Amino acid sequence: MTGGASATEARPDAATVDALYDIVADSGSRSLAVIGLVKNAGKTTVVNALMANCPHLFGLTSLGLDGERTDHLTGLAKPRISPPPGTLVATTQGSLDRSRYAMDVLEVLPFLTPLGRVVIGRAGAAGHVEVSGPTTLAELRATIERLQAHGAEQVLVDGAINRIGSASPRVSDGVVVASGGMVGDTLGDVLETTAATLDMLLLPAVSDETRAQLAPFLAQGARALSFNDRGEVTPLALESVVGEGVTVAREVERLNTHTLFIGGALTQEFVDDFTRVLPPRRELRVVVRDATVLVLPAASVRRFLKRGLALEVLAPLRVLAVTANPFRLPQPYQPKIFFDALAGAVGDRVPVFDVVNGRASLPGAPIQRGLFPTERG
Amino acid sequence: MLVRPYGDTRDDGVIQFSFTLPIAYSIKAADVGKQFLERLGFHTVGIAECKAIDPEYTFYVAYGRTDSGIDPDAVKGDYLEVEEMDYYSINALIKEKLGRKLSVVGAAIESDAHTVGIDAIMNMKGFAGNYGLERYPEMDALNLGSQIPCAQLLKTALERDADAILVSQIVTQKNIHVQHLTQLIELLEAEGVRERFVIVVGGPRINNAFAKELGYDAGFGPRTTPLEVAAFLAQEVVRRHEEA
Ligand code: B12
Repeated sequence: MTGGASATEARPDAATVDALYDIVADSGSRSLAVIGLVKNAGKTTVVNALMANCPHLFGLTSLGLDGERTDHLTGLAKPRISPPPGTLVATTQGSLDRSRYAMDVLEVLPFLTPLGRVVIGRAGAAGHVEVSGPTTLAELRATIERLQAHGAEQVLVDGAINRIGSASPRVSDGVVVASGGMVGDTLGDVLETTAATLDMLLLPAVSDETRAQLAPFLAQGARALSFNDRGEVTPLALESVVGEGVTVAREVERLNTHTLFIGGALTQEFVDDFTRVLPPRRELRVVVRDATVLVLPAASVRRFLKRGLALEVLAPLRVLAVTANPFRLPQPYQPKIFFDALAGAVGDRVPVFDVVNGRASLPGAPIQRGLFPTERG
Repeated sequence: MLVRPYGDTRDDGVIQFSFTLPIAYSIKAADVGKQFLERLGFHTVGIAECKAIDPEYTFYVAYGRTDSGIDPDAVKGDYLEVEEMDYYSINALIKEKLGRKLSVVGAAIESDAHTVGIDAIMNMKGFAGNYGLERYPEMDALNLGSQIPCAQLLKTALERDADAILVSQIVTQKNIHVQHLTQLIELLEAEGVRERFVIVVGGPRINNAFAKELGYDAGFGPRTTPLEVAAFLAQEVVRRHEEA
C-alpha cells in the first residue's frame, strides 16, 4: 500500500458513524440513497462505514459499479466492499464473477444489465464483492423491495458517479449527500457547489392546497398544467416541455398562469429559453415532481430562484446528512480545514460528518420527523 | 493455466523496461534505476542502458524478472460478450422475431464534434470491412451527427419511436464525457422514458463495465465493428420484445 493521497482504505471512526446512523435510524428511512456530487466523493466509504459499525441487517445495492479494485476513469484505488456476514446484497452476475465472490444466491431478478442479471444473495465468506445493481430507477425501486422482502431492515443504495436519480422519493426514502475535495477546482468551488446542490435537493414542498388541486390531473398523467387566478386549469398541449421553453413561456403569458406544473424534466435549455421570453419581474410558481428531475447545474437553479420565480416540488427529498471527504488530487485538503469550511458552507441545512477523520457538525435545530410525506410507485 | 512473460526462455518471467528518471546522469544513476525496479517487485534486475538524454534526465533500458503470473481463463474482461452473428442472420432475426424494422437513432452528444466514431458504426459504407447500420434492410437507422444536445436526441428518439439510442463520446478532457453521459440518462429518467430504449454508448474511453456504471445498457470501446453493435441491438431488442 502506498501512503499519502488515496481515495481508499479509510478506517471509519466508530463514534462519528454512530452519530450518523442515529440520524438515519431516527428518520425512519428504510432505503437510504447515498449520492455523490462527483466521482470519488466518498459514497462507498460511507456505505462501508454504516455496514461495519451498525448492528443491523443491511441490504446493499448500487445504481453504478462499486467495490472494484481500481476506478475505470481515474485509475485510483477504490474502497473495497466486504459486507458483514448475513448482509443481503443485490449485485450482478458479472460483478460476482469479476470479483470471484462466493455468495448463496437467493433470487435472480429479471433485470438484465451490461454485466448480466441482477442477483440477490446473502454475504457469507470473507472477501471483497463488486456491487453493481440494476440499470434503471424503476428496476432499482423493485430491487430495494426485493431486498426488504428477503429481510433487509435497512437498504443502502450506493449511487452512480454524480447521478442524483436514486435520491428520488420514487426510489428511496432518505438521502445522504457525499461531498468532497474533488467536487471543484478550488475550495471555494467545492463549498459553492455543495451549498447550491443542497438548496436544490431541499426545495420546498407545495402546499396541501396545491397538491389537492393537482391530484386529479396527476392521476391522468398530466405533463404540463397551467393554473391561473380565475381558477382555470389548462393542460398545455405538449408531450413534454423539453425543448419547448419559448412555447411554454408564451402560454404562461397567454393563460395568465400563476402556477405551472411540469410533469417531466427541467433542463438548462428550457430554463434559458423560458426565462428569456418571460417578462422581467413576472411572478410565477413552477412545480415539479421532485428535485431529481432538475437536470441542470445547481447554480442555474439558484439563478432561476434569484429571478424571483418560485420552484416547489410535489415530493420533497429527505436529505439526512452531508459527508465531507477531504480527498482530492494531487494533494488532499487538511481534514480539519476542509471539514470546518464545508460545515460552515452547509450551515444549519443538515448535519455534516467526516466519518473517517471523526468530525461532526450538528445544527442546533433537532431533526424533525414525520414532516415528509413520501411518494411511491 | 498460469502464464508468465517470455524473455529468453519460456516462463522465465523476464520483462524489458524503458523509462526516464528526472535525475542527472552520474555513476550512481544505474543503481538508482536498479533499486527502483526492485521496489516494484522485480528481481535479477539488469541495467542494459543508462544514459543522459538531457543534463537533468537519465534514460534507462533494463531487464527484470517477475514471479507473478496470470491465468487468462480466469480474467473477466470489461468488454461485452455478444453472440456472434453475420449480416444476413441479423436481418433475418429482426424480420422473423420483431416483424418490423428495428429503429435506431445515433449521435455524438453535447459539445463533442467528432463524427468519425458514430459514422463508423452507422454509415452505409461501414468500417473495418463490414457494413454500417444504415445498410441493414431490417434497420431504420438515423445518424444525427455531432454536437447534438441530449434534449434533441431524446425528442428525435421519441418522435421516431426508436428501439435504440446510440451515443458517441470521444472527447474526455476533464471527464466531460461523464457529465454528458450521465446527463442524458438523468434526462430520460426524469421524463419517465428510460425503459423505452436500449441505450448504447461508445468511444475510445468506454467499456462495458463503465457503461453499467453510467446507466447504459451496453458499452463499446476502441476498434468496435458495426457487426458487433448490430448483433447486440438485434438480440437485445428481440429479447425485450419477447419478454414484454
Ligand atoms: C479526426 C479528429 C478530429 C476532427 C474530427 C472530425 C470529425 N468530423 O469527426 C477535428 C479536427 C474536427 C477534431 C476536433 C477536435 N479534437 Co479531435 N481528434 C481526431 C482524431 C485525430 C481521430 C478521431 C477519429 O476519427 N478516430 C477514428 C474513429 C473510427 O475511432 P473512434 O472515434 O474511437 O470510434 C471507434 C470506437 O471508439 C467506437 N465508437 C465511437 N463512438 C461510438 C458510438 C457507439 C454507439 C458505438 C457502439 C461505438 C462507438 O467505434 C468506433 C469504431 O471502432 C483523434 C486522435 C486519434 N488518433 O484518435 C483526435 C482527438 C479525439 N481530438 C481531440 C481533441 C482534444 C479535439 C479538440 C478538442 C481540439 C481542440 N482543442 O479544438 C477538437 C474537438 C472539438 C469538439 N468540440 O469536440 C483529442 C481528445 C483528447 C481527449 N482525451 O479528450 C484527440 C484524442 C487528439 C489528442 N490526442 O489530443 N478532432
